[in-house]
Amino acid sequence: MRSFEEDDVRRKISGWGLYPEVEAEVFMVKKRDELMEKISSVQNIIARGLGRSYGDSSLNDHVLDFSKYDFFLGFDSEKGILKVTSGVTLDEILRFAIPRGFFLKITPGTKFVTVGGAIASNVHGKNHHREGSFSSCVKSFKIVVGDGEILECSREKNSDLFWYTFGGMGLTGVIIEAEIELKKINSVKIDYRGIKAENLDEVFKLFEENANYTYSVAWIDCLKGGKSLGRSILMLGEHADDGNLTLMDKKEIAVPFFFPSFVLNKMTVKAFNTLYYSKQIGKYSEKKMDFDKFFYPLDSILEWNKMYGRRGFFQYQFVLPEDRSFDGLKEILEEISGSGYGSFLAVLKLFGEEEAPFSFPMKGYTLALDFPLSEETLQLAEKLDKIVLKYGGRHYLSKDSRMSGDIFKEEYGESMKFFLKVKERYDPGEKFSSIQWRRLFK
Amino acid sequence: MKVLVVGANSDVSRELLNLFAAEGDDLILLSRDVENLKLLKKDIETRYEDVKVEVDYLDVTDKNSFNPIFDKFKEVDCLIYIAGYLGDNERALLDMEEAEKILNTNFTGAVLFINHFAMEFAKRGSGIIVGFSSVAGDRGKSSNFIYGSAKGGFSVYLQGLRNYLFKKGVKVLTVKPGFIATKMTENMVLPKALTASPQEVAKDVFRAIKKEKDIVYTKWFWKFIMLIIKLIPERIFKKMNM
Repeated sequence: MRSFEEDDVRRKISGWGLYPEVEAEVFMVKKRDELMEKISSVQNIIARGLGRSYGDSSLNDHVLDFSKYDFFLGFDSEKGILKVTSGVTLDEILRFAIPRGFFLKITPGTKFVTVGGAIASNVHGKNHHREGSFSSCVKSFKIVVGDGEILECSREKNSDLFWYTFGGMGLTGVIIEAEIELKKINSVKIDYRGIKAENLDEVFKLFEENANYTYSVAWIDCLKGGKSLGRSILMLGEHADDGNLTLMDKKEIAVPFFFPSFVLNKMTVKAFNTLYYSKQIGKYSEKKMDFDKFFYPLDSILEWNKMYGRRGFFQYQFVLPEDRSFDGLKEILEEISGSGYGSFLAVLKLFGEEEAPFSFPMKGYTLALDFPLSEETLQLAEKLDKIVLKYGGRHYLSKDSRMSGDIFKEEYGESMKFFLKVKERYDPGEKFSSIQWRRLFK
Repeated sequence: MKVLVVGANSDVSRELLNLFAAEGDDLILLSRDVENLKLLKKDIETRYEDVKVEVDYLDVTDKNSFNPIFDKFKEVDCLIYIAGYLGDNERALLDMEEAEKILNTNFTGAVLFINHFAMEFAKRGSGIIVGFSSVAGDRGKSSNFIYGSAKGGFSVYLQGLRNYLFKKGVKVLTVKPGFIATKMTENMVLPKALTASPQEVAKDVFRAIKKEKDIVYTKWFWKFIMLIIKLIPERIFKKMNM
């Protein structure tokens, strides 16, 4: 048998946005003792899971690839608590949990992320307003800190490190194990309700009226200006209760090659958005939906990031405080629709309170947009940055590849200073860093 | 069924173990790295509650480590020998230790270990033996003929054993993988179309076991690639850079 595996290989890697791309020493994590040796022997380390953060969060000189460190360590079916190594993916957890009547308490819009990555990014889902971000389902984790010690962290133990690791982008240490709490479900299906909103005013009202739904998110057409500015479809969901816990084997399709950059242009994006809005005919639509389709619509198209062509793209996600969300979003949407660089998929959501002190979410509205990478879109993003800042908002580090350090420091202000204190305590020698760290924190 | 796996820590092995566990088969995992086997045991027993997993130390290059295993594990229905060591051909030409390690892991150790279970299975009149050889054993090439000769020897052993055990109700499967991809090879110059993922290899092998095949190439077309390679006359082959 021939196997070409090597433990440490120099190769080019990037985040999900395919930009930036850098050359790094990638170390495949397989065993704990090898990992500990690696951590003690090099500087400038960052842990990486499936590389689904969009920008430069998981890029550095030395990258610890955790995608094969994926072991289940135990399950308490009474309490629904699952113990795993940090390279286990949410996809694997769902395959395990659903037939046993459990589901992830918190899940982002892709199941192809690792538990370690979900903690480092403190990911959120369609239920943030009700159930918080990923931190709310994590009971404890083990992390390797700067001096090579393994610390167990929870709300009670090493709680400063526990809290600042959520949203800490891997900069507080290397997460190796975690205990997460699953929630009980009684169906693989979601009872879905879609409501069309003609403009921003209406979608805001709908979000507030439907705040008791467990899951809510809106798709928004950001090319529409004028009276229809902010026209959108609010998508609501609850776990169904029909007792069907059978997983279906689904076929995934992959984007076979990089699309030439002209495929996604102003015309096609406009046409797509119009079609998407018209797909739902009436004001209301109700149906039973497979969980995969509701939570992970893009996961069925593997490597969809290639749609934006070889140059890649960036995702622009920010949140604005609730009381200033309407004015801020209006200004931002006007700027975007005026520029004509509409996003193929734009997603709006109302967050609830956030428990983790150094994390992206805050009570208010968040908008996520994709832009193909170009001079023009980067300039547009810089204009938007200023508006976000003006309204007291902030950007999501897991999506960011381009923001300036000044903007970031103003946005995160005090909480960043507290974060740096915790980092100093557990990683005084700056063993853990990333390209994003040098771009934003320095 | 009780399945014993020698060299249980490889990527292919892990995929294969999941396939057996999903059918509720109990597993015995052997390797030098018992710590990692314990992790694997936890993983399998968590994912498949009704599967029992035992782990133990075995060094295939040290026949003194065999007897405790033979004494401890009597009830085995399926033996899978997946341990392998590619080594460095150039180094093996100069360094006896390296050459010996290649020969022992891929051939000598395999034969000595399998012999015991072959006789047990024969006595009982049932059982399956699966040996992981390689396409490299089909023809000696300048780039890896130490490894290739060990695998070639192993293939011939399995072939003979199959004929020997046929009338005694014991099945022998020879597995001949071509290139196997791992995550780290994605930027290397491996011909993508010829390369199988560990998962694909495991699926092919699992299917071949169920179908009681004699030999399985994985990916399947390696059978034809090797057929052509074997047909090239030696006087031409020796001038080729392979």
